[in-house]
Amino acid sequence: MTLFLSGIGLYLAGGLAQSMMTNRLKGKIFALFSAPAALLVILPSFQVLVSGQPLQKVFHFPFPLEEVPLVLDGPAAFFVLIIASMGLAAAVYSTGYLKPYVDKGRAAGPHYLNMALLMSFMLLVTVIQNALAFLIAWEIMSLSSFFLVAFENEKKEVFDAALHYLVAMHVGVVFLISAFILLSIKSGGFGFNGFSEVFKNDPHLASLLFIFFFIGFGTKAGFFPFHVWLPKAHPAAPGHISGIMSAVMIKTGIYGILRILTLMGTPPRGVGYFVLGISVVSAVMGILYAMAQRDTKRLLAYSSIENIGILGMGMGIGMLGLSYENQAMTLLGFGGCLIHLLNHSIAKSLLFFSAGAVYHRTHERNMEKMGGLIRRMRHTALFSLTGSAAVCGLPPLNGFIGKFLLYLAMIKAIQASNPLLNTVGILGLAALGFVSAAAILTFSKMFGIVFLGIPRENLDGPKTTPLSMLVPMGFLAALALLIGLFPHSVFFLVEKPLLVLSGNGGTADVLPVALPGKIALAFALFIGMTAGLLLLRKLLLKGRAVSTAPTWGCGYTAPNPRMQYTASSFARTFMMLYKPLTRMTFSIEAPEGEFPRKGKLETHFPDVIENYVITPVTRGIDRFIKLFGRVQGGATQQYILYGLLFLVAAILWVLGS
Amino acid sequence: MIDFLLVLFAATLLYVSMTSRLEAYIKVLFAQGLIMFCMTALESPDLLSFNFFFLALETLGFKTVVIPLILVKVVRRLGIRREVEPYTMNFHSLLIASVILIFGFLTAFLSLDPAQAIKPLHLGVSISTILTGLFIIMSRKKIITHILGFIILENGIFMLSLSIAREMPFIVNLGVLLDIFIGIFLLVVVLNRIHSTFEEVHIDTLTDLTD
Amino acid sequence: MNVVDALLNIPVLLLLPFLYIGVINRVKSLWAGRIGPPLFQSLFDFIRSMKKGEVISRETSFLFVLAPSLTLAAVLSAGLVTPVIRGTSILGFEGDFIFFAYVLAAGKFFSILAAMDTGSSFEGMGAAREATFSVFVEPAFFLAVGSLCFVSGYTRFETIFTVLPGMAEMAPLVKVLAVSVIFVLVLVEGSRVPVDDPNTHLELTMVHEVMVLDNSGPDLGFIQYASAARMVILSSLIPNLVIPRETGLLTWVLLYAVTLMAMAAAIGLVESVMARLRMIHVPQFILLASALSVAVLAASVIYTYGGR
Repeated sequence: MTLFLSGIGLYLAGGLAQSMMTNRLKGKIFALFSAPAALLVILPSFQVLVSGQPLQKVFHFPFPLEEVPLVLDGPAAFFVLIIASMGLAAAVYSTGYLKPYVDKGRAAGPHYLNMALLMSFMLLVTVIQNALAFLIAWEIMSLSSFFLVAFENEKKEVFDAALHYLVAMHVGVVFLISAFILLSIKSGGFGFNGFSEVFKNDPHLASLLFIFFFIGFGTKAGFFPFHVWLPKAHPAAPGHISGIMSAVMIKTGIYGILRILTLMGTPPRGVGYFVLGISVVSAVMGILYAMAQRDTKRLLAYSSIENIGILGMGMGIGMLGLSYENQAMTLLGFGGCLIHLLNHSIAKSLLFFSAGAVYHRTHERNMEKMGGLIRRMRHTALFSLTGSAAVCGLPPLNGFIGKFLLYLAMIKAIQASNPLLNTVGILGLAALGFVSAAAILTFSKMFGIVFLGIPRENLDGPKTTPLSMLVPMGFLAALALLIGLFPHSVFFLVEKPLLVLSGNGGTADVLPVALPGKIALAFALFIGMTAGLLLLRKLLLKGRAVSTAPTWGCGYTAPNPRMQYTASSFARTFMMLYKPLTRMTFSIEAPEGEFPRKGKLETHFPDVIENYVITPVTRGIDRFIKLFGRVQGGATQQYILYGLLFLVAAILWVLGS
Repeated sequence: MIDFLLVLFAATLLYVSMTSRLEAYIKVLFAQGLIMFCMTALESPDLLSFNFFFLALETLGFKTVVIPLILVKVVRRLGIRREVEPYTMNFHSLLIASVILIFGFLTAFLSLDPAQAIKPLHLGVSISTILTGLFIIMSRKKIITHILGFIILENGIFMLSLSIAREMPFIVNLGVLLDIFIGIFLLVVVLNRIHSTFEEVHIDTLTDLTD
Repeated sequence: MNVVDALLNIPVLLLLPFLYIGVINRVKSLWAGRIGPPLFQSLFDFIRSMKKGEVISRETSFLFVLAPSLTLAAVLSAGLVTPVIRGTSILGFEGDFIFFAYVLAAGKFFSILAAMDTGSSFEGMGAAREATFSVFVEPAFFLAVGSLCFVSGYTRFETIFTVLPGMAEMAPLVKVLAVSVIFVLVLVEGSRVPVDDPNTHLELTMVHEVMVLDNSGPDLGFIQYASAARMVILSSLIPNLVIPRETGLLTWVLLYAVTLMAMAAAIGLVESVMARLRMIHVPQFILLASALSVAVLAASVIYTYGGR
């Protein structure tokens, strides 16, 4: 445990150290400190994941914190692993990404300080088992990430997005605070172990508390309908921050829910179905919105929402497994959730990093202006391709195995002897299938429009992508491929967390031992056959005429890059069918007259929740508050009068009682 | 003796609400400082204790000498003589000040337990001082008068801490800290000539600062 | 797992696609009053493609070269887990139908990207349509197979399809519905009428054909072969659904061949009789498959819980 805490200390030290360096060195110093810090934190986690024995240290503070246990158990260690590794990748990436800003004289000090805070407190959140300390760490996490998102805050949209994020986080935290307060009152203290009793004694209260926790943590995770901040904050934040947020920070929301589940024991059935329902909706709506986006990072943000939905589906099945005492469902559901979490972190970081690299080179996030970047950015394109295929769950990369376990979990539900479970299982299969196919559409759109084809507009920018940005991407891509080919490696990582999550019942993993091996074999054969066919092709074409020519234009004499299929058109085929759900707005200025003249067409896909729920609510609140506008006259005397009146009233009240 | 001092203190409050000459305000502050020093001297059980020494120094030094001196300098530099056009006329101010005084005494008498070692008169006067200070800020227009009202308010808080000194001795020290804070605040204001950034030392311009 | 059966899968899967396409084309020609091409014409075409050189578009990247080989490899990998002869697959495991769906999806993903690589608006259109159709196909597939899992109680292709034919009590309704769903899926995956017209290259019917406008030589051969193989693989599910496993090897192979040819003929008939549906109606048609799957599901649930 001391190693772990020293690791956290090292992160903070890194934050302090970089504040003393010159602007140019700040990033490198921070990355330099992050590496050993990550190592110090990962080592104890590995130890816990292998041995199954949690590490523990209890701190004593004066009132009101009192006793704060820090426990590094299975689930915590798993999350620590992900947080530390992705954080390190982001730190290295940031040195390259922020260089143009630093060169123009922008101060990077506060940014790195906040990164140090974010990393340290994300790690602390996973091990703290005292409600008050947890909330403090959670709040610091939210605040530091707010400052990180608002890096380019001179742009209005960035600032607005960051504020929106801050408000959303605090609305969510209200639910967390209420739930924790209730638990603390009932259990008489702040420690987590006291809470288990409260949950067991009163199932109805347990359900209510879980819903509160779900809303609170779900806002951080990005479940629909608490997701509106996500697609605003991710595009506004710099590349590495979006990566950390999507890959790691929203997963702390999932961690919170899982932690509450470990305290709850057996959740009531309704709660499991509730989680499953919201998750399916999140996944479907997430991917549908992702399809419609033109901004690369917004698309990736909505895709994160979709994947959170998938993780939620895993949790839901796991919870139903606990409720129905179906061990297979529990282990496969939670196992799939955790493995997919790991894989998604890798893939999403990779994708956000590559989107950041594209922005770095072109200063553009609008897909409609890009195209043909594969020629200018070969490596980034390759990494982005790996990320896209991984996030869709395609063989032979890592995304497949997590989803595969989730499918298996649903199959177990199908095999259970409860008609409701059977139906849910089959419908779950269909939902996952739908979401996966929609993801293929989305990511083929993203990769195709951005990297392939012919450039739609001439975009200027730096001539190369710095190595500090390419290396983390390459590392993540290699990881994706390796995990895909060797799925047993991740299976062993989730063994011990699963023990904790399944309530310490059953030590045997439900998966037949040979299964990951067979999947790896199938993947290897797939890759082998591809290589073989490529070789065959090469052999066949030896000595034959292989010439190049322009793309067949079907007889058009003057093709133009703008005539290529656009991102909106690509998605439109599908979106037309989902009009009621997506509320596409359409404005058109048709050209008039016989000869070609100016015309304009605009389509927008605003977020349903944002336009129909959040905006009316905020406007209503605004109007309500304006009614009290007279109270604020602006004259100091008026306010002093209020103070005086209050004082008199207080005195009178004291007298009266 | 202490009762006499307290009544004198209350009289200064009435005088402040009535007058419109700025130098008179400052003289009142001087008087209040002197009264408070005497009260500290009379009430302390042990004249030679460090605490008393510190308190005495503070009251005498800050309240009686330093602050009035600074304020006189400021007023002379600005060349302000009178507080013109306050919101309420002098007579009404006096009336309101009296009401406040009565209210303070009533509160004191009604809320105190005979078993506690607190003088109702003392408590009453301090509460009145606080409320009067607030009232002065509220009803005057010149910023310098606001500062004066604020100092009166803070004197009242110090009196309050003195009145319950028997029960909670350490509170008086907190009162002293507040004094020091005010002193430094004023010093900074003066040193930075903040007052001169407002061309007309009028607070109506501040009304623009609204949402 | 019977090794002989498993090994037999390989030649069957590799050679049958040619015959399959041949039968479809023959039926269509006969229906139209022509004699039509020889049954193994597609094999001759394939060999001819292999002998040619290639013309590669200047605007493309390495993806364009990678995609045809990858797509074919994907289809063959899917074939690894498909039960062909007497319900045996070469590499079966629990949940292998998930791998089946996903590896085919991987092939589709790369062929879509290759189409967009050319920078042609036609190919982009085809790619968009292809991607859209697959979004409807996946849930239909999973609904159907999920229901079959439910009824048979097994979780791998092999065992599902081993048990099902023997389940005589299983209402014929369920079997009929399953067969219809798979038939519709074959039409979609093979890009046959009414989803797509393999004969025309006009804008109106562009889905698969337009995606390969720029491919030539061995690449084109690979793609066409992959398309046919995909149909064979999906069609192989049907004989396994109806023919009991215990029949002798030779009889089984014969029945299998007959069933597949019957399917090919049916496809040919459908192609001759129907016209391609309007674009907007195509998803509805695929949704029909999903609706049939749901019907299978309902039937299975009723069967399982009603009969007890």
